[in-house]
Amino acid sequence: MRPARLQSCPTGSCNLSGARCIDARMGPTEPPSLDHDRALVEAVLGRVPGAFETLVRDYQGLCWHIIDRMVRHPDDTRDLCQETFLRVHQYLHQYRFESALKSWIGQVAYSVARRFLERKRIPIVESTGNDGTDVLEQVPDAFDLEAASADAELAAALHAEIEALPPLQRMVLTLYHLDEVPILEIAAITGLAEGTVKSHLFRCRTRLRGRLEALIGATT
Amino acid sequence: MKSHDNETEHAKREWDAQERAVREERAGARQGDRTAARSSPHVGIYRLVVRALKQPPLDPIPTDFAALTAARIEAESGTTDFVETWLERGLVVLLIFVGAGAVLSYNAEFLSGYVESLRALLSAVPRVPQATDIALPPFGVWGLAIAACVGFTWLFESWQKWERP
Repeated sequence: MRPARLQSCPTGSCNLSGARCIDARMGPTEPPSLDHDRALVEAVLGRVPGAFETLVRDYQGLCWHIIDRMVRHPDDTRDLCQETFLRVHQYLHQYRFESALKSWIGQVAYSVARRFLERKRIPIVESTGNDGTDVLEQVPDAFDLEAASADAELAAALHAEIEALPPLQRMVLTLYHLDEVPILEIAAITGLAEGTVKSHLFRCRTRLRGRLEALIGATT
Repeated sequence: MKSHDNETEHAKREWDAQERAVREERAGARQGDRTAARSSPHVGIYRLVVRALKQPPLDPIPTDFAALTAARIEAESGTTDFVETWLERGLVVLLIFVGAGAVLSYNAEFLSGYVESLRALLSAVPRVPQATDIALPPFGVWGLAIAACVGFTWLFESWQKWERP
């Protein structure tokens, strides 16, 4: 049973009680604030019962997305996520609140996944190749978004193309589009320059657009 | 040169279309999407790409992952802390025994030498100490070394406690 001090906060964004949770005053869609991070970190370091579980619950989604998109294997993802939180638990006292806790945990998850792929000698990024910019000038005359969206074959082909992307690009695209993590924060998590993150997004989306147009052209 | 400028211009236009598609999809998702019909074909294709990227084939997070992971890590950490604490205590006890053993292994001559040296130091307080006054016998050097070790350990632990928020 969860102790009274850690009953769910009114926003549902964490499990800290209203008195401790600064985000109780914010909307449920707002990201955790620095004050929320501070309260949570202090609770974990103070060994408040349930605090570490709250931290894991708050950031398991981000951690899972980063690792899953890089390693693409459920068992490895689970093990590496656990390793990430073990490291977070061991080194949390070194966290200095210089960046959001989300970025800090994201960095740990990314470095755990990257080391795993390096050990397996799997390249995490495509060194060269077609960036898809040869399709820049091909703009269709008309496009029915809703009809194309309902086309299961098109969706499957697009997903297959996304899966064929290198691990780093897959992960960057997921963080930006699914988790809506800003480019600056993705740069902080991956240690890449902001321009490099933008370049990955640009090239991948252009490549996917090229693939999509080829498919649409083939079906019409 | 002109070709490079054109490429840059195309790339900028393409980036703008991609980002516009992201904004329209996010706004559409929140407002029940009334913007789809207004999108240009160029942006429309990117909106389809954005929709696919928003639904990647992810493996689901196992049920109770947070509870199980936290319990496992805290249990392991608790065991490690317990072992570390007892190891630390054991080492302190060992240090005391080794110290006592060292005292016993030295004969009375060293002990008396140590006391003599201390007495000489105390009597030399009003005047400037000479090198011979502070030359301690071996046991004195060992005693200072042990005191320095204990002091350093205590300082290091205090620093670690202070460092933790």
